[in-house]
Amino acid sequence: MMRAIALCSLAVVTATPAMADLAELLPEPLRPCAERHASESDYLLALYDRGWRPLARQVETRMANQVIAEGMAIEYLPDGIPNAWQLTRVILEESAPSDEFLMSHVRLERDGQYLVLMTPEPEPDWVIVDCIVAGTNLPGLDMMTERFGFEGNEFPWFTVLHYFEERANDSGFLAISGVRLTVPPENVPGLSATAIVNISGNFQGLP
Amino acid sequence: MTGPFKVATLGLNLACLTIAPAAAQDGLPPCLDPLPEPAAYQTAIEADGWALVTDPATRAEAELSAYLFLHANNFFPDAFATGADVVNFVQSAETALAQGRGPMQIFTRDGTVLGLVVDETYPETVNIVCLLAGNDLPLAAEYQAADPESFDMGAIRIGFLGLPVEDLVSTRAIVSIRLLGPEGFLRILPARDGILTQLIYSAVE
Repeated sequence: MMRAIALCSLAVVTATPAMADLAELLPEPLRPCAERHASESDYLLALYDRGWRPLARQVETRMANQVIAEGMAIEYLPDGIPNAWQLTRVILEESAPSDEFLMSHVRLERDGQYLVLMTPEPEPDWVIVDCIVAGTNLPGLDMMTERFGFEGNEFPWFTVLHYFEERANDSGFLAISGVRLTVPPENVPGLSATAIVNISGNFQGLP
Repeated sequence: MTGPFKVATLGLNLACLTIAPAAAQDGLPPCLDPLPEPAAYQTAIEADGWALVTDPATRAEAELSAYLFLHANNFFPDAFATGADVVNFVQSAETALAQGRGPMQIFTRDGTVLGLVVDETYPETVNIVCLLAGNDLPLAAEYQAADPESFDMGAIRIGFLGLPVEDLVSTRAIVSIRLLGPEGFLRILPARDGILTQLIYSAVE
C-alpha cells in the first residue's frame, strides 16, 4: 500500500506555524529554487551562481537520470518494507528513469547531488518553479530539521519531512519536502541516491 | 559514413559565398593552404601553437565541441525555447558524431578547440576541414560582420566567406556560426562559437 503522505500531496499538509521565512531553511545552493525569477534562463543563471553546473552530454545525463529516478522512487516508497535489503530492491525496481520526463528538463550537478529544474510556462503574473534534488547527502534536509525541528513522519527505514508556507494575501506558497533513508549506507549497497528534496514555489507577480 | 559525410554536407552550405581577401584567414590555423602531404597538416597546426589532445576523456569532450558546429551547419536547430532544447541539441550532435565519426584529430590552444578532418576518399582530391570551437571567438564575429548576407535562423547566426582560389584549389571557404539564446541556456553548451573551414584541392601535380 502506498504511503498516504506523498511529497506532492500538499493538500494534506497544513501550514507550518511561526515560520518567518521558509526559504531561509534551505542551504545557499538551493535558495534559487525558493526565489522568484522571471524565466527558466534566469533560474539557471541563479543556480550556476550557487555552484551548480549544467549537464548536457549523454553519459552525464544518464547518471543524473539514475540518481533522480532513485530519488523519486524513494519519494514514493511503500509502507511496511520488512528489511533494508527489500528497501534497496524496491527502490531499484521502481527507479527506471522516465526519459520523456527527464529529457524535457535541464539537469544540473553539484558535489554529487543532482537537480532537475521545472519551470512551466508562466501564467500571467505568476511564476511557478519546482526543483527536485536527489543524492546521497542532502544538507537541505539537515538544515530543515536543525533550524526548524522535525515536521513530518518517521517510518522504519526512512523519514519524511514537509514544510509549507503560504504567502501573505494569497500571493502564492513555498513548499519544501524531503525523504531520507535512515538506514546506514552499507545496508543499502548499490543505491545512487538515498535522499530527495522537493522545492515548489508559486509566486504572484513577475519580478 | 565517415569523411565524405562531413565534407559533402559542409559543402552544401557553401553554394553562395561572399568573396573575401586572402588575408581573411589571418588568425586561423593553417587549414586553408594546400600542403605537399595531407599528413603535414598536423605538423603545421602544432607548429602554430596547437597541442594534440590524446587523453580519451578530454578528447571526447573537445571532439563534441568541434562537431557541434558541423551539426548546427547541417541541421540548423530551431530556436532554443527551453533549456531542454539545448540539451537535446547537444545530445543529437553526440548521436550524429557517433554514427558519422570519421578520423578527426583534436587540438587545443588557449581554451579553443580545433578538429582536423583530412579526407582523401575521392580520387585525386584532398578535402581539409577544420572545425574551431570556443566561447566568444573574436574571429567568428568578424566573419559574420564581413559577410553582408550573414543571417539568423533558429538557434544560429551564420555567415559564409569564400577565399580566392587558384590552380589546383577548387574551394577555400569559411563558415562562422554563433549559437543564439538566453545566457542561462547557452552555458549548457560546450561552446557557443564555431568556425568551419574547408579546403578542396587536387592531389594531381
